[in-house]
Amino acid sequence: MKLLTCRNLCLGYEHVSVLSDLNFSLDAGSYLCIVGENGSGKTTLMRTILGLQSPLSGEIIWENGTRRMEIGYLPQQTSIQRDFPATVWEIVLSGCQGRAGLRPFYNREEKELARASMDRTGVTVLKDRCYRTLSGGQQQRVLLARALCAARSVFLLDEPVSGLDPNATREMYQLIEKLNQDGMTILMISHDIGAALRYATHILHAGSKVFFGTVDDYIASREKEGILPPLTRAEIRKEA
Amino acid sequence: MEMLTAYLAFPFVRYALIVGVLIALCSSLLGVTLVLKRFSFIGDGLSHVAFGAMAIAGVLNLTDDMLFVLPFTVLSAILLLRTGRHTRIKGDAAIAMISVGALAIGYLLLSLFSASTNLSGDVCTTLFGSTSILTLTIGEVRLCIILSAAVILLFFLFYNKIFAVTFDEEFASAVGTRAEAYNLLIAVIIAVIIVLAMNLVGSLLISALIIFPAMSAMRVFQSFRSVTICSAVLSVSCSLIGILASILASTPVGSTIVVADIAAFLIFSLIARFKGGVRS
Amino acid sequence: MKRFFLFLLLIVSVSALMPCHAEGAPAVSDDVKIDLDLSGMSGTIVYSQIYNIMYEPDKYIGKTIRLNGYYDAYEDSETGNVYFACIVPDAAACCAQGIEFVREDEALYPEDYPEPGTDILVTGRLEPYTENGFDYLHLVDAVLVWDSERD
Repeated sequence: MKLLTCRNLCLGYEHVSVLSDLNFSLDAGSYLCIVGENGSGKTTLMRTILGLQSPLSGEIIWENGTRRMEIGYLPQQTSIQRDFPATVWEIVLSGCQGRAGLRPFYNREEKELARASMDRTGVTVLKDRCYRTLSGGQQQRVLLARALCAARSVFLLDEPVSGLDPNATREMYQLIEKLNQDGMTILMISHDIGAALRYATHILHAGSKVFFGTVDDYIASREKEGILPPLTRAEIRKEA
Repeated sequence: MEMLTAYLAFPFVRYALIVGVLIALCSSLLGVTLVLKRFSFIGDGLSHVAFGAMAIAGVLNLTDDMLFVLPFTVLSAILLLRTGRHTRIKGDAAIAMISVGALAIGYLLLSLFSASTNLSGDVCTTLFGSTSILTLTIGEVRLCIILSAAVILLFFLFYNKIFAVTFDEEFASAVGTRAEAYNLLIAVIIAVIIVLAMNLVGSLLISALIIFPAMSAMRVFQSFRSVTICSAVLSVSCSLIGILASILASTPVGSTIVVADIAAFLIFSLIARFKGGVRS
Repeated sequence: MKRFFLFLLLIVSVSALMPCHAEGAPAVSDDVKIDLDLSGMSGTIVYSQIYNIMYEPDKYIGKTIRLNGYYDAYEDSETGNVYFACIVPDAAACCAQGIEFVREDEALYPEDYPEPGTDILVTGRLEPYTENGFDYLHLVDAVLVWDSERD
């Protein structure tokens, strides 16, 4: 079952194109990792899929009536957030803002959803803690819980593990894997090729030469065609 | 104490207290958002724009300058917010240019065309508030009450959205909140507050009214809600103390209020240090 | 949070009613009936009150007012008229309000007047007058007291 199709997509800012002629479609329940060099347009692609900026040309089609406000999004942390005086509860609850629409206050159902989301990412014990006093991994799990309040079927993550220590990174990947197993479609930007190969079902390699396909095809194409630099041994070993 | 009750019998002292409390309340509510969004300098820039507008109103000899200054400042707020994001001129530089420009042009206009005999007095009153809070007309008091009520109501209705947009604009837009619209709303509210606050502390000291209570509250409190409530309570108390102290001690109202705010900030910083653990 | 805001709105609505309450300055009874006694009050108050008198003179005309300030005189070189005033500066020292007065006794100028700048206490009745087509206010039948004779 198709979820998302990108057709002849050209992305960029003003007249500078960063990614062009992008064609792919994704089934519901997939786990897509977007990899590529810095500046290859990964974040631009994600912002365009989210509707935060419009493509230079081409189109993005959501099938089955998936609407923008039903997408969960985990953006990169900003400097503003790091010392923000807010409790975990306040932040997680703000994930329901799309559902609440113009209603000024959150209703019981939305509060229940926020509680459930905190349970799913294991931050319930931190409920009344101040966000700025948490560790990087805890902060990321709080933001994940917030995104869960908004997500019904699709989850977009922009480098969810950057700056985390190995333990927190592993926990984060496990959480995301769990979400995927529960039926959530995942689109994740990552620098970590090893993890991408291990967890994802599909890879999108952004750059001058774009690759889209399953993980197996990706490994094969890298080795066979030699268009992309071959995988290092370490990366393949991680996959095993 | 006896003196104080005698003073309170003057209607203009009561007006000053009402208007002072309302302005302090409004400015502190938005202050937290401004500080966290790194918008504090927009407040500073706008206050100078309001000074320029006041000067133009004075030159044009308008009877009710509020009616000119308010839309002018609101418009500038919208422009500042737009240009800050989409042009090549960096946001902070743009604000500095506009604020200094407005200050210079305002003063130039006043000195060239003003019909008033007491130019330096007029300028000083607009910049430092002087005693203008104690010389309000009933019409100005009413306008202030209406505008404050509007600001508080808007903040009340959009509290959750303002929090969401302050904490994470990207996420808010991604889930369908119109972050641009709320930024605009915030800018308009700031403009209204600044025009109101010119009466209380003058245009040079307005930023203090917006920033200090928020900074003090952020030192000690941990949730957005408690920070907002604390900064509102703090700002109102400091304004009351400042106004009363300035009346009793014959000191300038605006600076006295700001000194009270600074004192509160120092006390809160000390409390934060003793409690430990809270960074800011 | 909701409760906090309802509380705030309550404060605002109550404050909207406050200005309607009884207006008028306190009357301090003395041997002479003084309607508005500003003597001994803080400079900020006196300044603001005089500003309000100038802004809305109709409310105060005919009232007897007493205030502290410093003495100043102005001599019109063309007409030879001398005007006396009690000046009250504001706290920021950028503005000053003055109120003109005419003494009740036949005092001689400058012998019977203090040095300009001396602190004085003036009591008089506020009346309007017109000169050269302009409207002015002054305190008539004014009694002037200054330091050297105060105690």
